[in-house]
Amino acid sequence: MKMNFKPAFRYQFRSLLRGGAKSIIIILGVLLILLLFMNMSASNSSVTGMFGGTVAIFLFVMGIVCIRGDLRLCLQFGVSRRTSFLSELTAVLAVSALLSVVGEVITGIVQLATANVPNFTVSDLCQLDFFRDTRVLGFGGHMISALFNSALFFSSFICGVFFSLLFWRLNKFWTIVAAISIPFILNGFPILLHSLSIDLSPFMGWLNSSPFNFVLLWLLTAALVGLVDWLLLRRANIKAKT
Amino acid sequence: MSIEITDLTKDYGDALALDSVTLTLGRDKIYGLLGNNGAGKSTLLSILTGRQYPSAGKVTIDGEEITNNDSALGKVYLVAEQNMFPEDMKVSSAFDAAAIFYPGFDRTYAEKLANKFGLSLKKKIKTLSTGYASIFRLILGLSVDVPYLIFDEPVLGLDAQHRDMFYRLLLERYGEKPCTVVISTHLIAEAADLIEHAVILRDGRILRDCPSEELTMNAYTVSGPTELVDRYLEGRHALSSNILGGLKSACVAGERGEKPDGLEFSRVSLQDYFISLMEEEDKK
Amino acid sequence: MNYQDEKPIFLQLAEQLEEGILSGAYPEESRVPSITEYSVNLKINPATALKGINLLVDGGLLYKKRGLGMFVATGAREKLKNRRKNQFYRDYVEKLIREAKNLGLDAAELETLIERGFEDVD
Repeated sequence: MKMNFKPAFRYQFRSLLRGGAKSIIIILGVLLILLLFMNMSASNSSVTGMFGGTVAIFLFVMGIVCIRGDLRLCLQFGVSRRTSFLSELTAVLAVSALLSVVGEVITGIVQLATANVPNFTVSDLCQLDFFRDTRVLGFGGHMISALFNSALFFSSFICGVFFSLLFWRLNKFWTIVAAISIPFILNGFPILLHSLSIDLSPFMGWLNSSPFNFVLLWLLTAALVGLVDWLLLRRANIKAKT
Repeated sequence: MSIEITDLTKDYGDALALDSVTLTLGRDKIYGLLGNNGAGKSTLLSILTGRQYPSAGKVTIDGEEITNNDSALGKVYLVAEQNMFPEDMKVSSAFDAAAIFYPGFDRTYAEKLANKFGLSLKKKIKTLSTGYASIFRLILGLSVDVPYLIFDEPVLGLDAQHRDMFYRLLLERYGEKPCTVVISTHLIAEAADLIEHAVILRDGRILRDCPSEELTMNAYTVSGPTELVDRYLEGRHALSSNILGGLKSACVAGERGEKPDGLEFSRVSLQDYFISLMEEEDKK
Repeated sequence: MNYQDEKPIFLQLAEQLEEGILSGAYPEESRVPSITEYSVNLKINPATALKGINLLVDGGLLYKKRGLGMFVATGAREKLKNRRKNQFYRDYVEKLIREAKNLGLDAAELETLIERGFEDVD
């Protein structure tokens, strides 16, 4: 059973990259505007977590938006759900890595350029949590941050896919149930933990002890949610959008 | 080398869309998949191309089962009513994508066809009218190089001139690069002369599966005064009949007998045969 | 091409071809349109076109040159003319003679009538 993997990967990689490029341009634009504002005000200002957070959200949205359309197009062109899903994941992995590397390069350049500017610091999520005291991150730090971001982006996308598939497969009744229960779950979860006397702080402590623990958490989430994604889409009827 | 459909069943709970359909689609023939709305044609075709899953039965393409099988799925291309492309994709981008997936995609030919039909390459798919959306999908189907080309109601929304163009282009493509073509349509009169083999579907079951010639050669219309016609019809299998005033005409299956004076025989078109067959089935 | 006609399409095609050969529109040793050309032109399945063409091939009126197409055979026109003559005899002459005999006309009177016909009729 040969897989027609390459064309599916090429198509998905290109379209994700195009979207990713657009988001980077927007981020750069915003950064530029902020830099201009920095020159005008004298207060202490820092731009933090912007890249990682923004791109993670972007990829989450991409996960929601792309998966069904890609499955449809691939099936029209004779590529099965399995191949299409696997190539989608591979494409996302590649784009995540690429975007995080680009992010590190941009952050690194801006850091070096503004190293002696008194009121202005730029850093990303990983640095914020684990390298708080460093102003200009070294190469090793950037590598870790890139890995950190890649894993975050990848699992973001897969979670986006989950929500898209969930609402696709559920019929009307269960869609409403699911939609209503999301705020309950989000608000109720910490309450539930408290009432069960579950203390998450040792877990949080473990998490914050090393960036690699975050990477592990995200990859595990990706694997689990990815499995659910596959189960949701493997027997789905593929029809037109409308 | 063929598509083998064995005991294919699709059960929607309250209705059986396909009921144990067994069919072989052989190489390099033009098939007509005929039936009324709701007969199960579109369901059959979407299962054939992996868009839906059957409740029972199996499909093999050139001997390989289609589930999760790209080499099998890549051999069949379905042009159906559904748009499977992102709405804001441009026609030319869709051609780009087709070229990525099908090394044999003839881009030059596709653009030539777009020109011929008056389809602008720059337009976004969502802005196309029903007719031009059909044309867009047709052009893709005619330009990919697959051994099994399936059209499900291909001329929806097309004006007479474009319908004519499509049939001729299809025959040209079929003549120059033979492949298996399946046309599923309820516009039987238009397709009748194109198809070589007719598969008639009704209520999810196959009623007829034979060369179209067999159907039209083995049936005829007898017409004349009602009494004479009735006398002639004794012992014969009449599929349907029509009475106007004192004249009756009936569609009869089987060989022509001796033509009594006062009666006329005439050939039955595929559409008339189909209608008569459906009328007979309605009575059952 | 009359799609409502009693005659099957492949027969109509064959007859059209024969007319073309007789009239000289398709000279001997010239190429006739290919199966695909007929198919596209008449909007019919190539198998139907092939059936019509094969009728002429079987009748010795056309032959196939590999890789080049279908050609009108030498002597096809003569063959067709003879065939038509025989058909004419069966369809018209036999009936004419029968009717003449019924009316009591002999061969000489019939000949006079025929000569008159050649002068009167365009």
